[in-house]
Amino acid sequence: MGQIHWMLSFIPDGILLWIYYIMLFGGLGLYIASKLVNLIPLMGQYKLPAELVGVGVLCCACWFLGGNGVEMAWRERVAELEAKIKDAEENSRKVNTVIETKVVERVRIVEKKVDVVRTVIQKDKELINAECKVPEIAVIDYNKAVADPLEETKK
Amino acid sequence: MKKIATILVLAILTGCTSVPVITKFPDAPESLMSPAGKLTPLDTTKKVELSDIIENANENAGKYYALREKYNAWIEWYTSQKKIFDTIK
Repeated sequence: MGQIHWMLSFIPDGILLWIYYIMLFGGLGLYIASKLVNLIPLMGQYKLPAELVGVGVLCCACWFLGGNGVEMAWRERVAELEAKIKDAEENSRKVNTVIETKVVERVRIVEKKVDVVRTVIQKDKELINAECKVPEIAVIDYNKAVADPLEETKK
Repeated sequence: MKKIATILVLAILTGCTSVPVITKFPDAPESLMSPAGKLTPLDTTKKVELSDIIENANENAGKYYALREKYNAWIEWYTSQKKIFDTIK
């Protein structure tokens, strides 16, 4: 049944609603006319067809109107969700900007601190090295500690 | 019979419409997308002094703190985006 509504979705809603109401009142009118047709001479033969067509059209109109109501409710829900998604995307962008700025700033502070300490070490270099001789094995062990353990397992 | 079957299949397929609401997965900040670097080892091609070791430790500590900031930022990014995503219901 969804296929019918899908095909009807190509027709503008306003026109569609008008058609449904025309069908509803047309069907109703036809049904009432079928009850009064006996009063008009020579028209009695149309009583049954008018009644059948009237009831059929009335049923179809009710069904289409109901379907249209459901369709509109869904469209409203879709519009509501789209608005929420738009808000969420905007908020997401704002959060990204805040985090980006924060990270850049904090990493800059870290780098600045590293530079300051480097300068201090350079200044104190002679004092630091005055009474200390680093054995070769210490350098090898240090580099072992610094090496990536996962890269070692790859070898 | 085949024609009727084709028409029926086509008619059924017209019902395969999807709800036109698509949520895009949020992009992460660019600064968080760079891969982590490696720790710097000591230069063994020259004579290593204690000051070189301290300098190297300083450099590696800096790398750790920079990475820690990025790691914490990822946690913050995930928590915030999840909170935002949870509002869409």
